[in-house]
Amino acid sequence: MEKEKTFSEQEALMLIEQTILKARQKFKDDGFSLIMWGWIVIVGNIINYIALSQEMPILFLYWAIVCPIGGIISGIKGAKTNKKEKGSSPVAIQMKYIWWGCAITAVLLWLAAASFGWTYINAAMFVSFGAPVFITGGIMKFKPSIFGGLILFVFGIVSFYIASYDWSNLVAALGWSLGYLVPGYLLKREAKKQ
Amino acid sequence: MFKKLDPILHAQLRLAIMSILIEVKEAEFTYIKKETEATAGNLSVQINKLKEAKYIEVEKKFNGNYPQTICKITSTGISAFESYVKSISSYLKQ
Repeated sequence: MEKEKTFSEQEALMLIEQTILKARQKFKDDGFSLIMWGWIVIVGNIINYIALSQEMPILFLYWAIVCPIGGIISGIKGAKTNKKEKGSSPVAIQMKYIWWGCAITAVLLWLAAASFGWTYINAAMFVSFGAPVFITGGIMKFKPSIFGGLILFVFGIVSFYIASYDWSNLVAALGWSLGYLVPGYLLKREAKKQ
Repeated sequence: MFKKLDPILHAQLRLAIMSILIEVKEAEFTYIKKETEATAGNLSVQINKLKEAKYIEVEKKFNGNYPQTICKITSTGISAFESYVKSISSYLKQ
């Protein structure tokens, strides 16, 4: 049997901090949701622009068809990840609740927009999705997500001012590219390295 | 006056095991072995000591044909760990 290693109080505290930090960083996600939803929303915003500028409202059906499919894929992916994870981390549980809260907020905002008008929907989506990207970036200590969240907040404010213009959807597509896709692909690259 | 440090936790490998479990709540033996870089034999001995102290529970089950050992921190273990951290923090302040 190996002899127990003795160590100082300082070393003990450092060991605790390093071990916990290492365990926490293992729960960075692989960027799948950011990438998938990023593309869904970017394509959707481009379709919105075409629908408004070319007066083709039928194209708005894109959201009613694609978003539920995205939701199902997210659900399946989430269930598969839960099965694979070796530890049920409090951090992973927190992150799940943050994203579930965001998804519920988005659905409620959509329902409200269906009754009260769609003018400010882009701004509302930026603000409600900026928060979880920013918060989960902070939890994972992953700067691209933190900056991604801040970018979404900025585009949220800009979207309020340009909401009445058709081209605001193209600006929104740019915002989602920077705030969602960039962190998503960087997370995917980090996950591959690990 | 210095508080006496918990001798169960004031050992490098046992403290590492508890630090992992305080964060992830429960983990497989193979995961803990990989993270602590300990030998299987030494890790088993330390896990048993933590189990005897009721700081962790150990569940053995099968995943298909493969045996799995899952270690889970108990509420006693969480309290002991928190108390230990407070004690060493007070050591370092003085």
